Amino acid sequence: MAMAGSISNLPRRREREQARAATMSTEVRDRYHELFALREQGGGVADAAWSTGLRHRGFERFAELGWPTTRMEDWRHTNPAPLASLEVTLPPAGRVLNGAARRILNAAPVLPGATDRLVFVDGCYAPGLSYSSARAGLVALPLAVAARAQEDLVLRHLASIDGGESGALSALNQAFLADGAFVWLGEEACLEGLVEVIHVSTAGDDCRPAATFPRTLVVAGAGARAVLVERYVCAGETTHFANAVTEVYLAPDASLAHCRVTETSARSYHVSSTVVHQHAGSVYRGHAITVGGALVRNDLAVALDGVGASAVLAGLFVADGREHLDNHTLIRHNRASCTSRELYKGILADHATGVFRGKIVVAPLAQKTDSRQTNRNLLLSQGATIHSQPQLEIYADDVKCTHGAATGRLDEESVFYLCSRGISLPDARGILTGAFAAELLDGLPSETLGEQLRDTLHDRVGLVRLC
Amino acid sequence: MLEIRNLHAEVNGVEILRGIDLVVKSGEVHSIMGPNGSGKSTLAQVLAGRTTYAVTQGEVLLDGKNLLELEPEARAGEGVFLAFQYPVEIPGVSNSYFLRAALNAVRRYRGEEEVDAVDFLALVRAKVAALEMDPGLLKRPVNEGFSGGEKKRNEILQMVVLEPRLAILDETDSGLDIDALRIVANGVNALRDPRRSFIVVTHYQRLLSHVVPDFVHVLYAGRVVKSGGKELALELEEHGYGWLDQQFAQAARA
Ligand SMILES: Nc1ncnc2c1ncn2[C@@H]1O[C@H](COP(=O)(O)OP(=O)(O)OP(=O)(O)O)[C@@H](O)[C@H]1O
Ligand SMILES: [Mg+2]
Repeated sequence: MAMAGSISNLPRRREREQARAATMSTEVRDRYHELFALREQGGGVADAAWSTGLRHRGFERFAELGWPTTRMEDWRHTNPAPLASLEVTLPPAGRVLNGAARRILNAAPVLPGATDRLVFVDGCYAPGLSYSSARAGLVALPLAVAARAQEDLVLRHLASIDGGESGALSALNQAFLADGAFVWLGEEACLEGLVEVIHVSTAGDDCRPAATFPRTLVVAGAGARAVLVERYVCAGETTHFANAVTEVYLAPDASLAHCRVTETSARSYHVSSTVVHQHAGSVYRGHAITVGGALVRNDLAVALDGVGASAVLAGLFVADGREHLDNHTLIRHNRASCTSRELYKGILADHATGVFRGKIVVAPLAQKTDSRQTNRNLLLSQGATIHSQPQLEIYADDVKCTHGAATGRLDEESVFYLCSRGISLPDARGILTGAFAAELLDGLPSETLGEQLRDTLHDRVGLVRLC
Repeated sequence: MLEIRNLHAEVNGVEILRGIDLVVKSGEVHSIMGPNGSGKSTLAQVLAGRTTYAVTQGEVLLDGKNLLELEPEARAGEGVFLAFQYPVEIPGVSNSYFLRAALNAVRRYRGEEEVDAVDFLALVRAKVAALEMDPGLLKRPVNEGFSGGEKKRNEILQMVVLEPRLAILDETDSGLDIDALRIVANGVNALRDPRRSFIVVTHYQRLLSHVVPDFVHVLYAGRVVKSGGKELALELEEHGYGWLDQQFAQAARA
């Protein structure tokens, strides 16, 4: 009887759930609409006439798509409801707390070789914390400044390369577009050192978390080479919501090493979408390092749109407590003879959850594709969970594609071996955790960044630095 | 120095050590022999603190201290060292990092000052040379891709760096070529000291003609069934272990 009862209730329950989701979706849309209208009319965007069209189109698209739900394939393992229920507020424009930001920036000290540094505090450019080398072949400016000087150049690329695949959240970023970083590399510009873009979140409180919508646009001319470090750090005491979008445009034979590091506190939320568009012969090396966050969702989409382009995606995500980190990558092999290499590793402690979804699509034109994808995860506790989902879609016949995923725990025999030599149990586990992460931290284009991250990961999951 | 009394240990409910008694005094070398599967490695691992094996009865004292109450790392601090029969490969951790971490861990335990990178390098280089090891092995990940003999030599390197009170060598001789056997034996002999003891698990007389034992014990089905002097090893080499089976078959019939 009970069985029959529950079965007959099922459709009704689903209906109820759908109704609830619809109500929620309307509520969130209304909330953001109110914020949007307030900002558009309240003068918060007075000197951003250049992006009015973009913002309004962004909001329309957001309103049309609605807030994502777990019914969508892309959100199956990450419930976006906690993001929707954040009653966010926009940090007051122009308020830059240099003191507070400086304290947080101590966690992200200037990297050796950083010739240019753009710092944003709660979404606002902080000139006092930034500096520029003014080198030939490089423009590294706040987006708003660049748009005023070179409106054509900025508008030609901004929001132009996501090919209509962007979701509601990146449309929301566009709707609230304020400022961000613009990095332009001239043809054949071969830059020594590295460019840093740092976003610091300080504002917000528990009742009204501050929402920021950082935007980064990178345009590399033919044959240009550079290293970009994009970094998101936040104050631990309050709740924030960052919704970031980064666009990278690589002309033929351009080469970019791009570190994207997010260190999010256990009470903060971060979603991001990085889209990379590659022309023939260009090389993109992505290093995606994600540490912590109540809920983090990083999307990375790379389009290999020119013959012989190559992408190397390296990712490390680390969480503890009840944190939830989700990484979605999409590599589109659209032209012949492109190469992609992808290695993502997750380290999950306590009751943390990780998601890795790596999709590779090989288009009919993309003969001689060479693609390799690996996902490996280390679970440091019984309570930690990982959802790993590699996905290959191949529409060409002359291709070499492999993928593999493996999840494991620390090898007990190795732990005992180390302990039998006098090494304490926490250190033994930390050493093995360090060994697991080593290839990703060693592979970073900045050694100092690797060391800073090792310190962070020591505090987080006991990782021991192996030098 | 080491006293093992009525030691019983089991794994997954199967009893493997079934009442071991053994006393090893300071400065002595004891050899443990016995057929495959008789429990030699189990005894060695239990002494080092492997928790896969549950000790169900008995006690183990090192200098009067109850070893069984100590974690593996504390046992190492107290001076227990096990050269593994099958050394573990640890990708991603360099051999020299591992050795220094181990040395400094036991030095901290013993209240001694840590050794800095420079001093350590000098120290370890000398030991590597004495063992005629390829110094390149220091930079490589621990045991990863090492040949069988290189792994065994690496265990001995760890032993000479950590200078234990009680060294347990579990078939360190198997897999070594003739020259390596001599080198390893020299390494062991150089450490022989009135305050240091050795338990040498082996199947062959070969090693024992270099490292001459004070006592030889035969382990069979989880018990020490026979003990004697160094000549017992020669006897075993000649006659094998068949007599044990006969003896036990008789005992079972009786
Ligand atoms: N983890 C385990 N699970 C099940 N059985 C085990 C385990 N460890 C050891 N044993 C069993 O215990 C017995 C003793 O094993 P042990 O390795 O101590 O033998 P040994 O005397 O060292 O043999 P060998 O000379 O071959 O090295 C064997 O029968 C072995 O299969
Ligand atoms: Mg054995």
